[in-house]
Amino acid sequence: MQLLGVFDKLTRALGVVSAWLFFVIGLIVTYEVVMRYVFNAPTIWVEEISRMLLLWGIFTASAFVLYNNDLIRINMLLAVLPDPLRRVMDIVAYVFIFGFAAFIAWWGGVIALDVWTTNETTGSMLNIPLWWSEIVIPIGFGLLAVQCVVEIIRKFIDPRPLETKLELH
Amino acid sequence: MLEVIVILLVLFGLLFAGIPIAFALGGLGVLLLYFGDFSSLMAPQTLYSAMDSFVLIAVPLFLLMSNILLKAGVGRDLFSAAQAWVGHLPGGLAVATVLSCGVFAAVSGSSVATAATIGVVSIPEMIERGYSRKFALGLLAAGGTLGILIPPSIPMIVYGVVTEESILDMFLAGIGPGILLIILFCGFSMLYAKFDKRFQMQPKAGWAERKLSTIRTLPTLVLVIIMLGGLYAGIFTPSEAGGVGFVCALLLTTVIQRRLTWTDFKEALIDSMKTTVTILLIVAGAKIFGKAITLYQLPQEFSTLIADTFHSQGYMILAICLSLLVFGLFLEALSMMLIMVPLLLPTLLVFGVDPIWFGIIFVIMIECALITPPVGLNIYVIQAVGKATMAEVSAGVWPFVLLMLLSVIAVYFFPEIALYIPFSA
Amino acid sequence: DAAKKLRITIQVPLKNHLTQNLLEFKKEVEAESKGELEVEIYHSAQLYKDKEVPRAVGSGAIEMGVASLTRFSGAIPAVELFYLPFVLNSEELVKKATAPGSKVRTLIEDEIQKTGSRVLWWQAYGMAQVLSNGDVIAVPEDMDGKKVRVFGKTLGKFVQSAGGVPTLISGSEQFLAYQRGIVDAGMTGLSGVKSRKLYQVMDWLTLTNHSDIEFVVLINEKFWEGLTGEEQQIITTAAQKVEVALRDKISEVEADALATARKEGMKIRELSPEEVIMWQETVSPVIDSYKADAGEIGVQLLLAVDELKK
Ligand code: NA
Ligand code: NA
Repeated sequence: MQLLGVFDKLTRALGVVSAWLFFVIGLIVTYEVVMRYVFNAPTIWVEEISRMLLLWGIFTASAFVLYNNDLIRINMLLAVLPDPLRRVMDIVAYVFIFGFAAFIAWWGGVIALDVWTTNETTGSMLNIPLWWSEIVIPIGFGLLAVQCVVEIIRKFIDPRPLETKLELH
Repeated sequence: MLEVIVILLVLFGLLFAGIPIAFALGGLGVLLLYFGDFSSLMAPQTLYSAMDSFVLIAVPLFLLMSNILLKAGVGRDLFSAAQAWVGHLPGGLAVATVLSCGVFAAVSGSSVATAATIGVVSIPEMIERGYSRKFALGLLAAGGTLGILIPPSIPMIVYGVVTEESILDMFLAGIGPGILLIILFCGFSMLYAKFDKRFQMQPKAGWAERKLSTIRTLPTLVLVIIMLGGLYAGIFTPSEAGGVGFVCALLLTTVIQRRLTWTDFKEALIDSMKTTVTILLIVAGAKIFGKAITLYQLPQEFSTLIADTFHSQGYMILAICLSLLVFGLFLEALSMMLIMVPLLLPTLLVFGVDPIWFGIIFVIMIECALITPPVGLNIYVIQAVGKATMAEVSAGVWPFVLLMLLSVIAVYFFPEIALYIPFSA
Repeated sequence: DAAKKLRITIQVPLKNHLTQNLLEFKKEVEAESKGELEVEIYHSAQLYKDKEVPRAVGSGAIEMGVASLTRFSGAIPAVELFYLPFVLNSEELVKKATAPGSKVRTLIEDEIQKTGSRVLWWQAYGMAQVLSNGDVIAVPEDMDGKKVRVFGKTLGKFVQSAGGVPTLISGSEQFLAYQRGIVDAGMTGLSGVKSRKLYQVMDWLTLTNHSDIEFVVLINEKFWEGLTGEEQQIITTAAQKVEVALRDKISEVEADALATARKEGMKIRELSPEEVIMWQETVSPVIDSYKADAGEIGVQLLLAVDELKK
């Protein structure tokens, strides 16, 4: 139970980090517009860095949205099932996501290891190492797989079915 | 063709079993790649490549902008100003609601944010002044969908990414149909008020009140002008518009209006993150699914089938719209676009359909999907905002669904409604 | 048993002459192998964007793919040779450099082989030219202080060396960027001037021929080794045949595009030999930084180009 708490903390922290990454993207993209339009001096780094931050932002927060039960799902049929059956369906969903995440983390890891050992760069004007961004796939989906396990364990401790949450889109 | 049906059935099975949409699409995609004997590296490569996109940066940035405006209470400003000008007319509050939705739509890329921002202030007001609950709820659910038709628009960004069409053209093409829908909604509201006996007239606001409330909305209107003007003049790209809009909204609500608290700001940040991640995970999952069906040559077969079945463009579009209406009852709106557009794309080429024009028709069909029960995000959000049941909201939306279908017919027969602005730019 | 499948991913749409060239290859291979080899073409980046192709083919995620040669620059900086300004700056030089078995080509193909892909053939795309609005760009000073659309880091350094401001803009956004004045000038292949109707938004076309745009058709090395000798022979023969056909055709395509640009009212400017020398003097820092990045192979490649010029 304590271990679950540790994972939850990490997951929440990564969610907050991701939120700030999007904030930083907003700032640097605006900086680019100002530099280009006002000072006639476009940068060579904003486009590439903001793409990298988007990759990091999305995949490091995947575990958070799972933990927070924010993922969009169709609850129409689940809503009419009796509680024990709903609980089973929740676990089925976690197992399904776990399989997907573990598969992606593994093969994404193969790719990241490859670009790391070959020292490949983006070949763009900024020319940064490719592994800086490729490594987010094994990290993000590895964390997501772990979070699935955490949620499955939590299901056995607390048998209540997941609440349907409403988020603003 | 059998393959298309089987794959869609399995997908629907996963979706209705409650597997989150992003992973139902991505997982089924991986399974298809696996059984088709394709390389395992393809799935992680696709996920990476789907998010390695400067265009999609617009999604978090437009969400940040509208969440900050929402937290700072811009909805109340807009609604009070609109009310001061048109509140005394028959159906005036409803007209004010539609106009507020239209203006907020011009700074928000999402229909749910638009419905929530305006709904919070206008639903209680309308109900208090004698409008029927189901009319008020239906109006807000529908008015909110203007958020994705009037630029900026997250579904238009996604459509542009999937079809490789210009997002700027999509944005510009949404303005005309957006105004058409505003007119239709306002006209209907005035007619409705005329025939509803419970309806009470409002006193006319004085000039002082009009002036004051309008001044309070000026910063938001300036923001609208910066966004649309900057896009139109080519000062920034759609993604950059998101960044500029976000920074302007932040300056506006902190430095100028001093209304955004630190707590509001953090909440806006976290809410934007959650929505961004949930939406873009669906986009990424759909990309794997899309690649898998491409490798199975399904879109090509599907397009041959459609071309053999429908010999004219008109019947084909009619068939597509009817199927979107039906799918839209059950499917989440953005996923519907992500599943259907890759399937339909080769067909459009065969019939020589303008992809921008078709994109606008598609977006209006998505608006329908957002407010048709049982699955529709805008219904859910209005349920929460208006403290209503699903049955109440559902009973209120159907006239607006009809008006949306009417606007699809109008855009079909008069493509200029959509295409005049981008083609004359 | 079932036919062996060769799936090819390519960025450009079906009607582009690079994809048409693949269709000829498909016809040839399928006929010669009597259906034992089956070629499937996935155009318009349905499967992979251009920049992902080297990795996709090298890792074996797909059997074949077409990538711009300079997409390899992250792994092999030496491939930027073709974008080096005013180095391979005539059709004749390009033909010599890309001839099968030439020193330049062999050096590059050997490096690409180390990434897990074999180069089957090279697809000519034409040479880069300079477009501008208002004033013509004929000598390096003309570029001073101008915002210039580029497509790659070496071309970016080229613009900087002439005092301009490079701006990366994708091919599809080019028209808009010129029309709205986001940039003052730009570089592109001649065929793009016609297909993207750039003559509608730009006044001047300077025939600089400053860089050469090449695409390479790749096949995964492990997959290649798994083919029989006879199958390899069929593929090699077809590749050689369609390569020559495209290189001959591209001259026609460029001449046609130039005629269209002229007819549509673009003003055409050619460089005098003196002007070319002025450019070559300006861009020497670009050559130096190439040598530093590309190392030993880069030096060998530049020597090989010098040989060709003799
Ligand atoms: Na909008
Ligand atoms: Na619906």
